[in-house]
Amino acid sequence: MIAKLVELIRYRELVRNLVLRDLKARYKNSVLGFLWSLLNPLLTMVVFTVVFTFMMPNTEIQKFPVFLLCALLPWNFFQAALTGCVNSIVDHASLIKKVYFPREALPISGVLSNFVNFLLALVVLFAMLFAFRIPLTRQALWLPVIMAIQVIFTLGLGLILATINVFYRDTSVILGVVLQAWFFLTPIIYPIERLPTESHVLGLTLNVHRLSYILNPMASIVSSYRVVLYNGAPPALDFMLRTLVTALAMLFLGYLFFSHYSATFGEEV
Amino acid sequence: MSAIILEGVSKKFVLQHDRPRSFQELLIRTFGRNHNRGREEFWTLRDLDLVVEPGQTLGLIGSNGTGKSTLLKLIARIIQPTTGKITVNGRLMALLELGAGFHLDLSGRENIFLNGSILGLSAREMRAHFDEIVAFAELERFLDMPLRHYSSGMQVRLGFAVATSLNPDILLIDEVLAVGDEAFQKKCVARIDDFRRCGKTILLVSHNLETIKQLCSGVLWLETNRPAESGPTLLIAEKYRQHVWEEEARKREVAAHATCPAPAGGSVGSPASTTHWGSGEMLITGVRLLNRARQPVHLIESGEPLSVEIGYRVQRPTTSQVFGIAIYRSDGLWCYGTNTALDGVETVELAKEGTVCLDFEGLGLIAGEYTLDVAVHDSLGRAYDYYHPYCALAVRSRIQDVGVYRPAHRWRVNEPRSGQRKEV
Repeated sequence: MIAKLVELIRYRELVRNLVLRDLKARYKNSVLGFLWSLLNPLLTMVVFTVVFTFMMPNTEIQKFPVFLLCALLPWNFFQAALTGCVNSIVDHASLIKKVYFPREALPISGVLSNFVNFLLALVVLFAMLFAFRIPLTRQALWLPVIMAIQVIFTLGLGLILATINVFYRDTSVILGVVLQAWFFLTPIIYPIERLPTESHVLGLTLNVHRLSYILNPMASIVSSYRVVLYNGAPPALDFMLRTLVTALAMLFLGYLFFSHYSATFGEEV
Repeated sequence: MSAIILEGVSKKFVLQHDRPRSFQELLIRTFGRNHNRGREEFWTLRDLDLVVEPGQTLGLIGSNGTGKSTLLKLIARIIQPTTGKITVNGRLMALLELGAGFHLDLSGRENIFLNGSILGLSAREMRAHFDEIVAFAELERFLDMPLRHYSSGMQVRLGFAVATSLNPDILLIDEVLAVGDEAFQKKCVARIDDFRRCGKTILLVSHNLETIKQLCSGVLWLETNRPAESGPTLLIAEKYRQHVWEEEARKREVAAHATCPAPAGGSVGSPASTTHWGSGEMLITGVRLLNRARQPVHLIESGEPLSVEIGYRVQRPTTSQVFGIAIYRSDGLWCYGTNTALDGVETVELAKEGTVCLDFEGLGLIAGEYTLDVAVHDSLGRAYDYYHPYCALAVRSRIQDVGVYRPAHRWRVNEPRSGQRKEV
């Protein structure tokens, strides 16, 4: 495994070039390239803002557009990265059949190119923060840490999905459905505080609020973004730590799973 | 230290016709009833031992599907051997496909870097060799144009230039030379020749025996149902050629038997478009092509003896009978024709049924595909029975001379000119 990691480092140029290729290809064909990629979250923001401030007025949440965008952009990154990862091996079948290189380079570059997109999209978020006069506090310095946790978690999951998709080609289709459900289960269009601490389901008393934190790493990650940017408050450290451990475990498992099967990719894709 | 060592390497492929390819299929399969698991296993390589020394140029030959490409992929680590061990000492570059990972929307320049990094080159190496790559590919003017606007030839040139720009210790090449225009092919061969002279180890798969002979010092011959054989190029290449001819001859015999003449009329013979006419006083009942050993053949080596044995039957008595044959090349060129009358052979007192045989002492046709017409007619040329063509004949040659036929000949070099020869 160490040898494999060393080899991956030797191929870092490949990861870099694959990321560059993704970005260039995305932005080259349209003059509006970059703006285009910002349009999607902005439109989503407008739609949800219209729904939640005019159609279903919610006075509880101040400055809803910013509230939403703080969580929506990280989620979009997560979603795009996973979607990119799941097909990364299958889409490069001709390459994998003809050239040897560490296969992990493909999912890694899939996550990283979307990460770069995410960073670019953050410009809009900061503009919105400014427009709504939400001051940036020192807590915003936590941002890189939260991002790192998210990248680690996403990559771990992406490695697993990319592998499964080689053997079961409808994984990407299923992922689409799962992601949609996951979106609503994650506190993006609502604050996590809204979740009940006591809820009775089939005679069981569940702390949905707590369960959401425990079972859904994305809930913790997304809320953390919101806490440090929108609320300007310090993140709950124990939660952060637990999420980091979860993310690292996910990456470790994902990497093991991926390397175990990647030797057969040359025949299976 | 040897460059490449294979110890007992085998590769098994499993064709699972039934393996579910998606969760949907998996679900249906789990609840569905028919569970006939179609599993087909086949071994492409079996217990192969091979040692390639540094500086050796080894050619891989063999019919299709005998594992040549599989072997290269195994050495390149694209797939894993089922059993056995592969050791590679040195930096390896596999040219199994040119321009792997090219992206059409990116410029030539960007693609050079992308392709290079896929092949494992560092940015420093790429920059150091950049100008050389561009010069070799002859694409200076198009460097900043998206690859989309390149011709396929230009793309291939770029791919080859990148792949060979860096000096790998070991080079694996899979038939990629069969691309690009003539001039570029020469350039490719020249570059590989350079590698060879620099003492690089090269493994080359090619169906072109001439290329193999030109470049390789040794050859590994892989064949299904027979052990792999390696040795000096000329020896193994000759054995392989022999094997290919035998196989082809065997297949032609099988094909000929499967389709061959219902004697006395009806449809005839291997060529699909046989036409057949005549007044029917005499019938051709069958024609056999016989080699030196009087074995029926449909493939001969150029210059070998050949006999055409024509079986006939007399239906009604006739006053004159002339037997003839004609040889056509596959493009329709009439190579040769003769008959008993032209050659002044008497055919008056014929038995009611029998054979007429025409012997060629050495049929010096140039390698190619030919067809044979056979006919019997009267002295004025009115056909009793005429087959056009009767059967196919393939000619193979180990000499790559050109034209239509090969007159018996020999060269003499540096001998005194005839006429001035001094009597001893």
